[in-house]
Amino acid sequence: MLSLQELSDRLEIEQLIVRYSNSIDQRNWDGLDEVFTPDAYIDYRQLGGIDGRYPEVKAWLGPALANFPHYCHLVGNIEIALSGDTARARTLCINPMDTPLPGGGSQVMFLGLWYVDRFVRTARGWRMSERVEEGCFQHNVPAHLAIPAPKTGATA
Amino acid sequence: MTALEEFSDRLEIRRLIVRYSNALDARRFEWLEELFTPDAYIDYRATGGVDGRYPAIREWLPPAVGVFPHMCHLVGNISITVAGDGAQARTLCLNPVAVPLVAGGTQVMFLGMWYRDTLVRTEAGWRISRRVQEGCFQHNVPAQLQIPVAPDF
Repeated sequence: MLSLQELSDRLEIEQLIVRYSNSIDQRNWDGLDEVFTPDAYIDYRQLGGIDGRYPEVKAWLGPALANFPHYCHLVGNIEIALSGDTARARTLCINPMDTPLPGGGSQVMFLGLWYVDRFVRTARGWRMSERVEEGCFQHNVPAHLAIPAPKTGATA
Repeated sequence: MTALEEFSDRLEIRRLIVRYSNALDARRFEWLEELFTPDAYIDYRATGGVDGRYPAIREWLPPAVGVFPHMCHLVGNISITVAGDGAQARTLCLNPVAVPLVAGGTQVMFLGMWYRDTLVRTEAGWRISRRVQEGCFQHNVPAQLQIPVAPDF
């Protein structure tokens, strides 16, 4: 039987992963301060973004996502491996993005990706110390957008 | 209040269901050994696959999904009923699959299905002893593929 401590750790880490999506989708960038460690490493390059430390990535997010009038980041399949005061997790994300077209109107593209995360237990609770995106499927991407084609097949 | 043991059982069963998706999507088929009982019955016929016992399905899977360069199996709506050392679960799966086209390029199809599972508590933990797919919607399926249409509700 799992201990109450393990159940609690798993629930807190799941909530952190959901809070990331909700902060991004509500464009509440300061909400991310409660998700990441101050020096967390974040890598969005597989889907055409940047990589770097949290302060730099936080500053990049607002302008980068301002181009998209509607989007959401539905997460699931959260698999967590706990190890004392650290943890790793793999999470699937289905990401519909409403993309304005150069000729007017917009087109919803659907991106599939995984988040490969590391976590650390801090005095203020669990925080994400690393998040690396791994691409999966891309559907209905407008021709004018340059998103790198995902690598074939997934890696564990 | 729900007892700690029931929380534990439910979480372990959810982990099994998620681990199955991750095993397929990461193409780590060896992970399946720790998910199914050795004689589990598996039925993929609702989405055009086969049915049979676990060892035969384990052989069938890698080449069957190997033709698809990208896929994922997002599970949710996991409804679990635990009764002692047995359990039943019903899970919704949203399954985008990139299909290579005969004419070149790929097309992403979207399949919706449910997994109807029977689980059993073993000495090594919970295992799936029966998994039957039940088809839901199909969207953007290439004409070259033969997937049975789900019966109307």
